[in-house]
Amino acid sequence: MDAASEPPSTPPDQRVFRRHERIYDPFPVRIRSVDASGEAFECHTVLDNFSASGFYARLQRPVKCGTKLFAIVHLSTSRCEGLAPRVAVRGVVLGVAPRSDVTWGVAVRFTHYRFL
Amino acid sequence: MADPIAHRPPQQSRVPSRDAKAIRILIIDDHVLVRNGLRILLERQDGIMVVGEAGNGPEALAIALSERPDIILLALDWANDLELLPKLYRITPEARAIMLTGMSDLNTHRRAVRLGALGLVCKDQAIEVLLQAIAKVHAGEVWLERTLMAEVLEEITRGGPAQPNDPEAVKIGTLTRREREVIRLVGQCLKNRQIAAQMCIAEDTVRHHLTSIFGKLSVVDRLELVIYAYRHGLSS
Repeated sequence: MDAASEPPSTPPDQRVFRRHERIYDPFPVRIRSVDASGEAFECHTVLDNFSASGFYARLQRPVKCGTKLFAIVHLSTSRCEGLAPRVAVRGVVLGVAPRSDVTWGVAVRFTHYRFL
Repeated sequence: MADPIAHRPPQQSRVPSRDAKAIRILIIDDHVLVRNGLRILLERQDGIMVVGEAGNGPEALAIALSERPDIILLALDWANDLELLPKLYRITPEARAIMLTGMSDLNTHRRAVRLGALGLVCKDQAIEVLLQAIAKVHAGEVWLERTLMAEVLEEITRGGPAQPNDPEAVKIGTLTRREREVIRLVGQCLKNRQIAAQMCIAEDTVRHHLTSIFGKLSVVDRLELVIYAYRHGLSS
């Protein structure tokens, strides 16, 4: 929300115009993809936000726009992740931006999803 | 730009750590300057300890979870900021929230109170007012304008708020008991077959319920329904 200094993961003035409802809870997620140098990686992180059309997360490494990505999102912020409903998603990276906390903000649009 | 003092651990606070009874405060505001200014003003006071600052929802939830503040100062610049409040209470039920607002929209103020805000302080008021509000709310009282307080009391005595201005409440109100049950099970990511088995109905009936639910809630697919259910507390 610090729009002046950070890539706008959740621009407050745009939230009301979003087509899909968006959740800003830190859902745990496991992401598998290929980084900008072509190396495959898998990581655990939490989402900044999540909707029916995509999510925004911070990664420790950059990825290229257009990269395909697979993720499993736990739809709960509870520590008992094993009991949480999960959804597996395939998507495409729409945007990537470096952040001040030395991470990369990655916006992903879903192409497929499946409940696990 | 980095925010060098965001979420400063309590031991680095300028309030002496020996003051075990200090009111522990979490500041949530979009603007770094506002947060820093508030921190400086608050930490000048005896008995107040700022345990963290957050510029967005995920940060706020993480700090609330780790620091367990007594008071949450939540800046209310957009009506959507209010959605953070129930999530914060879920994480720290013992905390008490005060909204700092520059908005004069009474409907938003009412909604803030309904969602659990125990204090409402306008941003154009002096720091002394905020300090009074913090002290009162921490002591178990509320800090609201008289008119707002009267409305809240009236709602309580009349047995609950009428919510003509909340379109989602209207939509949810049209759901039948069976449809709510289906939504709860969809929220657990169950398949139609599993839902049918749990509710002792046919899979076709589940599909009919879903068609009706999608129409009533204006959602287009199952994932959107799961998200809607999560946001509006229909999945638990």
